[in-house]
Amino acid sequence: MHKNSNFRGGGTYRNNSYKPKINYCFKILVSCMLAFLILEFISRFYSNMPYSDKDESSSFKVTDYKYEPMENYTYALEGYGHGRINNDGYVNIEDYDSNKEVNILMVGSSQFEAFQVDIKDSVTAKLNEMLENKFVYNIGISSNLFPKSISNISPAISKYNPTDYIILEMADVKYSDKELIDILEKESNDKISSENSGLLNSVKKIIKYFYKQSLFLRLVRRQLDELTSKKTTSSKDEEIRFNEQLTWEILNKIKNTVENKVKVIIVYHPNLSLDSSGNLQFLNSEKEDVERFSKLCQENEIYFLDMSNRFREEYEKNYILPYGFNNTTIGKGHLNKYGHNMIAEELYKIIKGAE
Amino acid sequence: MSFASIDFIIFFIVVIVGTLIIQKFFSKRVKEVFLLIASYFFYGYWDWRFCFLLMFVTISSYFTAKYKDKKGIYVLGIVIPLVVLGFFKYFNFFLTSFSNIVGHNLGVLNIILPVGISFYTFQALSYVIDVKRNKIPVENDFIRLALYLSFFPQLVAGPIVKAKDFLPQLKEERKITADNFKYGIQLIIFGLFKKIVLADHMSVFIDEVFFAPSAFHWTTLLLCIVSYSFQIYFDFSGYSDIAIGCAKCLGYDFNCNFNLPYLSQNVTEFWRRWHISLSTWLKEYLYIPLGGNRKGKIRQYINLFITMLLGGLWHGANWTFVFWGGLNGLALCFDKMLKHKKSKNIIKICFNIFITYCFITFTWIFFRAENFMIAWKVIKGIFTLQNGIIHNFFWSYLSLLVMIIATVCAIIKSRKLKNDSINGYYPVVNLNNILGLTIFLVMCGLLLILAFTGESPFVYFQF
Repeated sequence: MHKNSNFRGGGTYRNNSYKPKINYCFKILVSCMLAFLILEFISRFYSNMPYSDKDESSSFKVTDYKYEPMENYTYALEGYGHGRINNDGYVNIEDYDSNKEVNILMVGSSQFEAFQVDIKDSVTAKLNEMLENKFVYNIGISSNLFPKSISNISPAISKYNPTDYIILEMADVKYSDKELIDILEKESNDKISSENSGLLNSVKKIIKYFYKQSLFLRLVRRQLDELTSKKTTSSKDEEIRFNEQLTWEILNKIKNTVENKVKVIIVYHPNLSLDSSGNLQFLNSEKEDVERFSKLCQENEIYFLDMSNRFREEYEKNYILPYGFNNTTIGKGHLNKYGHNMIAEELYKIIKGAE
Repeated sequence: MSFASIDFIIFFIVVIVGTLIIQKFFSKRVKEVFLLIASYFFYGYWDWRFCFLLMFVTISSYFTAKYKDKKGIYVLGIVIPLVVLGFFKYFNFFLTSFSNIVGHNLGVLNIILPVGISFYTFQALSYVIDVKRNKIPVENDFIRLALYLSFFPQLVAGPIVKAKDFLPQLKEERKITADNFKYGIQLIIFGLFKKIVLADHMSVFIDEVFFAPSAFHWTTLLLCIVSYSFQIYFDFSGYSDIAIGCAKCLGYDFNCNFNLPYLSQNVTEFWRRWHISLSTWLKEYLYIPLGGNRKGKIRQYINLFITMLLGGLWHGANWTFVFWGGLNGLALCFDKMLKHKKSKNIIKICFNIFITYCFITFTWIFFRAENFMIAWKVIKGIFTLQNGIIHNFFWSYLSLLVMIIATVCAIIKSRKLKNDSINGYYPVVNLNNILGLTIFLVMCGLLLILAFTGESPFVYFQF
């Protein structure tokens, strides 16, 4: 280091050869800070995702995590949507009031959370509009897929005590046997991965705070997760199939959990694609499996709402697909506002019909 | 490994660091050997067996060029790369076409198409022909010739670097310098932005529409083909930028491969601005040897048409590419008949640009479609005002915006420099000041958060 510099006892450099380098390092530092601020600003419009943390405050787990309450969010990764997390940490226009009776409780994944959709276009918001005398409350949250929803159904009922309906959603009737056995054996599964798990638990508090504040860093993390999740998904080789026996036991467990206090509706919204002739094809589950699943629901006094026909009708008549947005793959991804509306309308028909 | 992969980033860092160490402590020869090994590693990363083919083409070019005065050996130097290309790329295509004609299934051979074969065989040809034409001396140094043919930035998808442009650079003392690196790294980042942010996001939409064209509304079909014209430009010019940037970082210069092609006023001008390295290669090594414009008008038109037909076939073993080449060939002949004069009337200029863009975009339908049936469905859907899914794809509009901004910047810059014709430029900023550094870092950040994370190989890899 000091080979070419004239280093004197006084601790000062007589030779200024380091000065330009120090200058340049300073410029890089300033530029990094400026660039970071600009990127943070851009991220606020692009993806101001609600921050999620562990649901440690609750004595029983309704969902494995929920969002920081009262925070605004903006999504533009798929479509465009914005809203505000309510005081309870879920996506609802109205705040939660423990004194107010919940009539219908929506339990599900990012599809019911209305991920990437404007809060006003969600199934929950639409149902609240349609059913003027009933209060529909949503605790749907990302990654809370059907098996997870069932595991958490008991604490959800205890906390929100819905009077009329509990509505669950699923995109597939096929699961691995392991997933189904887990539901039957455990009251609640292990923690699901969310933004709070993994990295956040292992880093220091200050980094966690910085990460929480930085939308840009959260977006970078999301991109990396997307890249790595593709590799892990492809290596997963558990057999996914429709197991009639286990499915019946699970549906029966739901029936026993609700104890005739409320009615249960399962919304089945299959993923779809277009074939080369432009015809709509439903993915994941075979038609026969869906029919058998529907029959098992009937046996356990559960309404089964199959959205296949409505999706097909809407496509063939109006060329409208329930999934996908203007900036992603056509007909794939999360439910768009049309999809939410279709589900809300079909649910409305069932609820009104039952009345 | 693809340029748009973490593997390549690691590889490139290792190459840069290795070259820096070598240029400080070892001779130029060690650097050449190191770059040659790195290039073969880069190529072998796809499939190590490909390296043998590359080596075979290199050896044949090396020896045949040495004995260029013996006609038989010179012909061999031309024939060997063509046979290699013909066998690996076109054998099954011609066999299937022949089967269809005779109505008897002759089967196909299980041949893997080596990545970048079209590019390095053309470079090998350019070397042998240039030596024969006495444009360049015979390269007696096998390592240098091997490095020219395998140099990793241009190996798999061009640009097609001619021997007379690159071999002299290998003889010079080229080094990694701060200035080269600052320039090169910007080209890489801008190229990556074009590729993994703009082109890859658009591929999602275009792939879906071309998979089921009958499902979409005519406006969506129209948007799709316009989007494809952007996608292929951003994809390929992005790749060229990365290649040029990588070479620049290492101290070598490649020529510009794109120059605002969609501002062309006629198809002839378009081919002077699009994939310039291929256009000039076809002109120098195919069109001129065929007779060029030296043997009368009719012969010139035939030569142009044949050149474009073969240029189309070079892009892929499919009749749709041949048809695409044929359409461009006809348009070039038409241009020659019209004898364009440069107009200063802005309305006429805009009209010419619009007409040329429409024609080129129309021909892209055949370039993109897997077969004529799909191309026909797209065209029919547009002209019959087909009803179907309406999809206003966001990334198409964003790409259009980027294209307009870049074009306006280019026009302003050309006016400032008082250039008659508009020249595209690489938007290089000064990384010695805070503004330049900030812009560059913001670009890097945008690349991280907007990058498409799905699978989408470079369009030109298939060629």
